[in-house]
Amino acid sequence: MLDKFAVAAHDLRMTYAGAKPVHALKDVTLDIRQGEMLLVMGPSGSGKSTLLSIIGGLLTPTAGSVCVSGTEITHLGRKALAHFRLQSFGYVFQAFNLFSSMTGAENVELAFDIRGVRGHKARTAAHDLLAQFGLNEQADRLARDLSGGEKQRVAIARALAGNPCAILADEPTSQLDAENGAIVTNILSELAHKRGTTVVIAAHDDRIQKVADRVVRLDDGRL
Amino acid sequence: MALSGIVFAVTLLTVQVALFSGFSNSTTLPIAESSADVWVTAPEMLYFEGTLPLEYGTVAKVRAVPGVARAEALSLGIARWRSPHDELALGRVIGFDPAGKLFDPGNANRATLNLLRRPYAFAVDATQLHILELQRVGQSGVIGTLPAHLAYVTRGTQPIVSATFFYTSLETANAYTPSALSFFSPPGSSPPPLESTDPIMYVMVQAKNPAASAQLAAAIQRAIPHVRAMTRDEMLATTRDYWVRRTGIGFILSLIALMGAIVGVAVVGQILYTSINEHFHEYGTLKAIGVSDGYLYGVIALQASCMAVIGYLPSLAFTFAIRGIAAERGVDILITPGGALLVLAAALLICISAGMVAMQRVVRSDPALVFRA
Repeated sequence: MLDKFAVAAHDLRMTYAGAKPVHALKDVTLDIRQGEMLLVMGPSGSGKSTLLSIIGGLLTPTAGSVCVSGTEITHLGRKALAHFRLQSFGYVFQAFNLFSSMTGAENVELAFDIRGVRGHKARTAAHDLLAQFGLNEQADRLARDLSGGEKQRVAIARALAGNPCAILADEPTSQLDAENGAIVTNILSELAHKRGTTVVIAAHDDRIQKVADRVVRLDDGRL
Repeated sequence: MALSGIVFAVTLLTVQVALFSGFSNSTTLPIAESSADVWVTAPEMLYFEGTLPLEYGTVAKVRAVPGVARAEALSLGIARWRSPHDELALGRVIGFDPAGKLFDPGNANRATLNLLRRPYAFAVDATQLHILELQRVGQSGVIGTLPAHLAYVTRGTQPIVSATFFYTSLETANAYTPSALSFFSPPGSSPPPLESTDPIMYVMVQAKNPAASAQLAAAIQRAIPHVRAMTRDEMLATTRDYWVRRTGIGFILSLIALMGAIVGVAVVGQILYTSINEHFHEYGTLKAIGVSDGYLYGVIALQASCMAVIGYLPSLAFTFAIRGIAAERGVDILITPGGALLVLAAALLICISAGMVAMQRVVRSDPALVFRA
């Protein structure tokens, strides 16, 4: 049953401990198909980033299970979970999170390098990926000198370096203007609908809502 | 900013190590001036200047030991110098045979050494001229009650820890020694030759087979009672160890070098910590992507190593640059290949270990932080 879905999250609960514990997720169940583009919407503090972090193996839930491509990841140890993330997910961040002192190509090359693809092979693969996103000319410019849209396209290329089964994107268009936001939205849509990569996005952006296969809303930790 | 801080820290360490090496080397300069394979002295000897006299007749006894190719005397005495302007300075008179082959302060040629065969002629290191209030060769002063003429100037022969060394002939040195009868010699007469009972401090020995110096030293010690015979390496080590281990100077310089290393660790650690904090999100992103802790440590080790090497090169250049200035003041800043490698290794160790400590924050951080930024 679980194998039918790229991601199967059942009965997720997440409570952040503290003087006043915060219940970020309350019994969330969510199945995501392979190649589906899913948009998670909700107000700030509703638990979107927490859900994305748990699905992506960055956070271990207080309760519940997450199965990704048939692997139950909530029981994996720290090292195994890190390895699983490396092999299975690509991440796209709101603030791009590129190495600013490296070129766009070097940022992507690094993503290949950490997966064991090195040297000329990594360089060629990085340039090929960037070319697919129209960044031929920008590939050798420092990340800090790129525009917001270019940075996010480099970040998406980096996320694809390991040929992941799922891309997790947190507010990928929130720092972009309308034109670049549309470009990034189209790229994410094509990843899901042409490449068959599962794309999970946490965002408020209406443009994404229009191209997403499914939209779920989180409110106070509940779907 | 980060690089300039590392250059500062590594320079501090390089200079301290070079000063320590220079000091250590300086204490043994008179021994290094000799090509002797074996040194013979009194059994009570502590270091080069700290020994008791032998009789000059010991030289002949040493020459008679099988395996000895050549033996020459070296004397050490106290000198009370009066400058041409009647200023007093204290020093040590080192007497040797200028026609000999086993002692040659400043690597002088034969003609220059022969200048010391003249009565009351001496040589002194260039760094000591201002102390003696001398400006050029040919000027004179007084040692004890006898005249003293500057015959030539040496370079790199004055230990930083010692009073001024006056290099002169055995006869002149003997005359300058206050206890000698020649103390009463009338000015102008030549000092008399040494007698077998006159005091000397060392017999320098050239072995027929330098590779068997240790065996020759043992043979001399067996053949002549109440002497201590040491190989050149033992003599160097004994004197160096005395200054480094038994005096406060060695301790202080060691402490300063250690302080340099501690300051280096603190400065580099702070710099790398700040640098890693500035790039915390970038490292955090790598952690979120799923790279191993080993990879993260490898990245910071590589970065720290690059910083160490880049910081090391200008620090070495700076140390070489100040070497000349220090030498003019008689301070030896010595950068040996071993010392240079030691500093490079220390710089790498300091930078890498500081980087590892600084990286702890990233390694222990929650990978989900990158989604909460």
